[in-house]
Amino acid sequence: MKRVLIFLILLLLPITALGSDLSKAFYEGVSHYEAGRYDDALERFLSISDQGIENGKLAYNIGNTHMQKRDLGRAILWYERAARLMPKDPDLIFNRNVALAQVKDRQEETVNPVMSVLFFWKKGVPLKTLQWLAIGSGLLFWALLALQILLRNTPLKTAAALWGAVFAILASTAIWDTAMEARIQKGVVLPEAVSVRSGLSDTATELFTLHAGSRVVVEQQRGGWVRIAFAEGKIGWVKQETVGVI
Amino acid sequence: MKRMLSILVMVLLCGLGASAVYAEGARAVVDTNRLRLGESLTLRVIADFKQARVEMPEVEGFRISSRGTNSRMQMINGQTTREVESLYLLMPVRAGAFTIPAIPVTGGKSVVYTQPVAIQVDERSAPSSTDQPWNVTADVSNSTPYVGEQVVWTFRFQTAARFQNARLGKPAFDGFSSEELGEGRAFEQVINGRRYAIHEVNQLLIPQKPGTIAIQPASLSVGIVTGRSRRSADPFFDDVFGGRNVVEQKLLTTEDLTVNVRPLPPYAGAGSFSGLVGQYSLSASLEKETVKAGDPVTLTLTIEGTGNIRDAVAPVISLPEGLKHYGDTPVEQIALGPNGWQGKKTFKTAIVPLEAGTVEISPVILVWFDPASKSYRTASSGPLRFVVTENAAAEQVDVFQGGDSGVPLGMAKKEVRLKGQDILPLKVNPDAVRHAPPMGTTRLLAWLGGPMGLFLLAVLGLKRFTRDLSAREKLSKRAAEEVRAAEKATSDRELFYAKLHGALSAVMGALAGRPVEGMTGEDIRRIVTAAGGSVDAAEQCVAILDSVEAARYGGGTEGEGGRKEKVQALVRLMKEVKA
Repeated sequence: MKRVLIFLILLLLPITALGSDLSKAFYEGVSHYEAGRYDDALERFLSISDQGIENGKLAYNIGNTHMQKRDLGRAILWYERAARLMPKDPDLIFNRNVALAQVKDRQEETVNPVMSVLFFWKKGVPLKTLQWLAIGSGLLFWALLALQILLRNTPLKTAAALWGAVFAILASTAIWDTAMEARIQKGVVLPEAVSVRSGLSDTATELFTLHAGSRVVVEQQRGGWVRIAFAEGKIGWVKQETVGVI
Repeated sequence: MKRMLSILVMVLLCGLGASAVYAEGARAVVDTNRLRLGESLTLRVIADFKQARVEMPEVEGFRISSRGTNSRMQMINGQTTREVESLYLLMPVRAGAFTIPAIPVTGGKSVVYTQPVAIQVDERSAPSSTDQPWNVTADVSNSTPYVGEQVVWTFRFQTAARFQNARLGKPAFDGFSSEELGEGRAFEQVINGRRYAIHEVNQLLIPQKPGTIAIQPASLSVGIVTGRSRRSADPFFDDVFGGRNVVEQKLLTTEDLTVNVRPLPPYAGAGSFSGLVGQYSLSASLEKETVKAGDPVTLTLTIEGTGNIRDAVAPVISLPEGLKHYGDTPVEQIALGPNGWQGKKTFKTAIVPLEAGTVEISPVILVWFDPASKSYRTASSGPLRFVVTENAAAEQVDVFQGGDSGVPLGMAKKEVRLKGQDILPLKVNPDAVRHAPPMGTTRLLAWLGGPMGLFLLAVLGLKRFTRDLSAREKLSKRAAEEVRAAEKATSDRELFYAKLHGALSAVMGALAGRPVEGMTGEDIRRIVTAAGGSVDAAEQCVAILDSVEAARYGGGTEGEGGRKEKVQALVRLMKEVKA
């Protein structure tokens, strides 16, 4: 028994040590930030991220540090990453909007009118919220169904049927959106300005120019270049390092 | 008999032959052989065989319009005939004597021809044998307009006869931009002592390019009422319900028109040509004569007139240095009148002076082409002045320019600086280093599918439990029924033992939770003790089984009291186990 206990403690030790190292780096980063040493702060925060830690608050802090360094492209990239993890965070929404207001390129939303009418209720509902709504409605639906079978109660049957329809819509939408989120790679332009070209070389025709912070869809990667789509009819190739993938 | 048969065959063959000859006929029928220009004739090509295809040739002196094909089948004296009828409208393009040539009609592998038909076309003014009291004309208000000048095309239908179902086919007006001028008008006019109803339809045309442009004839499809037929022998019903009109369908066409569009002469004057053609005037006014630096003053320019005013663009305003200006959306008050588009277009511009002093805006000039005088005309607003007074707050006013105004302003955009409060501070919660990735498809599916799995497990367990429960309940119920039946049959020895055996089996089944058949004394002991019954009870049941078997095979000697006692033993056993 003692041996098992010792084994477990030994197993947990590296995790605890890692946790304390990460926390240390995090608080050092915060201190550097507050002292105006943004390069040092960024180095600490990125060291945590490099460990494979995905966290909305960490991403928000990295975004803030880039903002202070006046690196608009990377600031928006990290704000977008944070928005995937904590879409409703008011601080994030505020800072992200401040950053987006400085983007030079006007982004035109391409909205399918039919889909926007059919899924009107999705407007303003982030994916994370949608996922938890679907899960919650699923739990309620199965509970209602089980109760109905146990108690053989007709009103419960109707309620279960109605809630089942709600659950089906929410679940299918959440699954679809999650799959799309995984499939469609989005990115952010990092340099101050980048020429979008018709081919995979610096001599290819310059189609248009994008500026830092413009959000694009990354369609393809080939030989150190990525094919991006900015808006309808605005597609071209840029160097891979000029676009940060969200 | 043979002879009769051969005669009959001959007759049938002759009949078939006659039918074949008839079936290969084709004929051309016209509704009239003499007509005037502007009228039309109907040509029907009738073929007496199915799948007939008319190859309509060109007919000199006529324009041909196909009006479709129909077929019908008739049975006369037991013979079936088919007719395919193709309908054409022929509109004469010039006067003279013409011939509709033989028209080939193909069907299968054979080709048949119709007979040629002679037609006489007279001039429009020629007297007609029928003295037809209708006429259609089309003309334009100006046959030599300039490019961009408005022209009115007028179609006129003049008739002294009653008509119905009139449908006007307008030409395409290629080379013009066209607009319908109202819904047309109808009036009456007496010509040569005869009252005519006149219907006019107007179309506004604006030539788009110079050169000779042909306007195709307009066609009017109309039913002319030529008489009235009675519906019944009793005039009373005709008065009440009205008689039926006899209508002759006509297609009336106008003559071709040719418009010679003249190009605009080259412009060599001061200012730039606005592209307007017609009659115009220009007015300009300033909202106020004195304004503080930084405050806006509105310059209003109004172009008014008749012509292509919808195409008018804001005249060029030359502003001195140090002024900003913002154009507003033009306001149009333009309507389609009898002479075409007319009205006014107002352009408002907000001018913001940045420095104190007197500002003089150079005259605004409008150049347009006047077709009446065949020359370019110019209207000028005259110089516009206003005084700008000092404004203490003017230096702090930031005015941003929207779009390219064409005026060099020498103002660079300010860099947007990040200030202390521009972004909200860091998040310092310790959980910022906890790995919390977004939910992927697999995790989501697990969350959605997990409760479903739990539900299915719960349902399966519940079903199993209730199934066992229901089996026990059924067996207990059956046992109680069998015991009651045995209790009732104590007076009848044979029936009693049969029922008692059934009751014992049912009670054992209820105790075991499964149906029990062919049991022995040992089985009974095991079942009763497993169900929680006492050894005495088990032995009593074994005794019941023995007595049943003894009675069934050896003949029972027990009295009614002993039988009841056995039933009571079973009842007690069940109560004991239940307790």
